[in-house]
Amino acid sequence: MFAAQLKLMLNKKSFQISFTIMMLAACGLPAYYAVSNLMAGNDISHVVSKQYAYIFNANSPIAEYISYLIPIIAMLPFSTSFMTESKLNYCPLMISRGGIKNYYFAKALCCGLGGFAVFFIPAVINIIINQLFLPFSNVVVFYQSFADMLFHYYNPARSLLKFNPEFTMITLFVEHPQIYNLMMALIMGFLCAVFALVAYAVSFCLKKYAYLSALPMMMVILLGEKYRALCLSRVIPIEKFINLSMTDYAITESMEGKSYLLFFAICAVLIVGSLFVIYKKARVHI
Amino acid sequence: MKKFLAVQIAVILISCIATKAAIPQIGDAGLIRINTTAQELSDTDAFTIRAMGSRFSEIELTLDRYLEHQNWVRDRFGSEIVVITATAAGRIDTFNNMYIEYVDVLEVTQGDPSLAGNSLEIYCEWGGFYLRDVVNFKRYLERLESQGYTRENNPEAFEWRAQYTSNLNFLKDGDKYLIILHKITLEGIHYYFYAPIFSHFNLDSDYSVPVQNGNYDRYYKYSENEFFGQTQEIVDDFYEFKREILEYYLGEDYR
Repeated sequence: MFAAQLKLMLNKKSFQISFTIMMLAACGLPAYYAVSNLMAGNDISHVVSKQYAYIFNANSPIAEYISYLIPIIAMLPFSTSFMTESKLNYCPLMISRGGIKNYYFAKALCCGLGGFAVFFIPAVINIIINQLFLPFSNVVVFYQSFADMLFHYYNPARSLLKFNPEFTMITLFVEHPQIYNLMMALIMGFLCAVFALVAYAVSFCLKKYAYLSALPMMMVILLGEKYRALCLSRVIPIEKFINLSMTDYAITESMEGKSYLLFFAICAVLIVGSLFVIYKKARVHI
Repeated sequence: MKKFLAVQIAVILISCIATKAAIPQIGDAGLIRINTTAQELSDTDAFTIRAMGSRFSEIELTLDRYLEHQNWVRDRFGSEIVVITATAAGRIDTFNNMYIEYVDVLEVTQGDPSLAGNSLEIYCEWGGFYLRDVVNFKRYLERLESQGYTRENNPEAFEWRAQYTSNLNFLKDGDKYLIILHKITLEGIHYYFYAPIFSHFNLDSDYSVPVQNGNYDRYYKYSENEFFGQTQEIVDDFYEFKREILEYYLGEDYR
């Protein structure tokens, strides 16, 4: 059943379109940086360094807008497939061949996998292209100089973490930025898999307008952004600030105030909630 | 499916070719090295100056405060203060926001006396030429705009130029200096570095003219200066301070 659903997803136009969009962005960005550098006179100090050229770096022109688009792109690959198959009366055929639970959960797995693949694979290709072709020309933000090196070397506990206590895994970011980016790509893939799964569960409640299934996760992101804005404008005391913008957890160098424990707890709740809805739907179908 | 895969491969190939073609053949440079000589640095107009804009009394820089600061650096890094007189060996390695100077030690006023007669390499960061990278330059522009600066009113502030960020100039080839250093030992190797405050004083010259246009003026115009101050009063403050430092370390008959 899983293999059949996977094949279905890979041949689906919406999966291919969303994957191509992400691929164009991921492959186009290094070329954009390179051409910008060419226009500026091939100046080594102008070209964006390989570690900052990552597609989901907070300073990239794409990351600025991607936060709000992630739920939509994550939903596109397969999350609306149940509604389409229902309309085409395709479900009974599949269920008769593989069983009800198998059908629903194989579809759920494919949704997650589709969401993951659409973001993770282009991000990894982006990292590889950056690594192969862009120079390491910028000064690293921290740990850039002799004294920083001495200070870090001499007493690591007092150095980077002391001055940047909120930056999760700062040592990895500074010393192996591309591995850090790879880890963030993995988190981005995971987050999108969760978004796709939630959208799939939500699509059961919709009779038409399947694309509205991305709305709940967009609301979650907007609420996180609103909470951040209230904290920054001091309506809520800044001391109580926790970054609730889910996408920031998967974007390199985004705003701090993150608690990855909270992030994974929220993701776990969303996964369990979605699986529960899918299970209930399968039971009703029986 | 085959068509889909072909499109993806085409996208990757086009991106690789475009990126490779548009990026010049430049090597990796974790620190941007400004590969030139001191004379060339003096001749180019590519660098601006960060000239001191406050009187010493305003920032309460006295001999006692200076010594306190040196001790603070010593405690922070676990270093040892070394005071020497030395001549500049005529070699500087400049990197982004950091440089290395080479000197021949004449006498040791404080520290290990066996250093006399040796050559030393001295690391200096918190200074030298500094060029912001793209990301930091964007942040710098945002900060400028948030402070009310505009491109129209302050075009120089929006130019992307390297800035010479120290108030003291590089050591001048062949001149004799009093140098206050910090020594740190890692795995048996001694490293010498300047603290981020006035660390060397020319014993052969007292030449400095005020920097006319503050932080946007060009380095080459003042490359003979020992010190960069925005007004004659600030320059005078420096030489008064220098006299106190030399008297403290070398005694009243230091000349």
